[in-house]
Amino acid sequence: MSKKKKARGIDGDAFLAAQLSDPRVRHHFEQRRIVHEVAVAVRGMRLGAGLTQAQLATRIGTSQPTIARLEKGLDVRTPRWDTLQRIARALGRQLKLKFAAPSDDDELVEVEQPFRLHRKKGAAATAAAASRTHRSGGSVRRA
Amino acid sequence: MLELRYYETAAGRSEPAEYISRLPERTRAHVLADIEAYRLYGAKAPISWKPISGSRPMMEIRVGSQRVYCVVQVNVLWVLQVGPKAHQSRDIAKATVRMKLVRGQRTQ
Repeated sequence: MSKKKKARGIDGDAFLAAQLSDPRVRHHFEQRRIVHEVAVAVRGMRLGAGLTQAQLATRIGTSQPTIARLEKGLDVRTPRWDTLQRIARALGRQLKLKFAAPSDDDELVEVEQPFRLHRKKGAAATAAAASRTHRSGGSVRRA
Repeated sequence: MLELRYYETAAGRSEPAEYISRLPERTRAHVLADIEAYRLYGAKAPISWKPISGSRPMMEIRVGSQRVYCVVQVNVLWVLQVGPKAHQSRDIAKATVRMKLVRGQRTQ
């Protein structure tokens, strides 16, 4: 009688924690994590504002492929402060720097006011979302 | 967020985890971070990934010259194999066998 083989696996969280105990690995890991979180945040805010990549690029004086690369997390280096500041201004926000106590659970990039990853009727949906946020009383962390 | 598991043989060896552990620090960190990004954001993750035609639903995450072969099965992201692009066909063959084992597993 044939016996069905069962797949086994080692726990990803434990493996990651062991790897990140090396400070140099942790440093590079966090650099990469910032690139990912910035990418998701910029894309979300841009779509929330009903802008195309080309429109955002024009507003901050850069090219559409630059925005595309940033949103796809293709750049190895973390984006420059100046670039992020221009993006924030173009999207009606302010860039802030925060020195916080270390924690693996917290996101490194925080966006105030909720936004959607999918385009949803452009600026009208954004205005409605902003209005809802205002009514519910202030800033909300990205879920 | 998906649970993450690295494929392990019955003898307790995890080839993908062992391979990642041997990578240079920077590459290792990038591989780990890109796997985490997929785990967190799924198909919308800002990383380079694509399904492998002929071995669906297996997919490949591209991190520089390294390739991570994984599959999502019942809310678990399984890392089946990791290797250099140069060994792609050999690694896909290994990962495909492992994917079948993972998908054939009875859950709950």
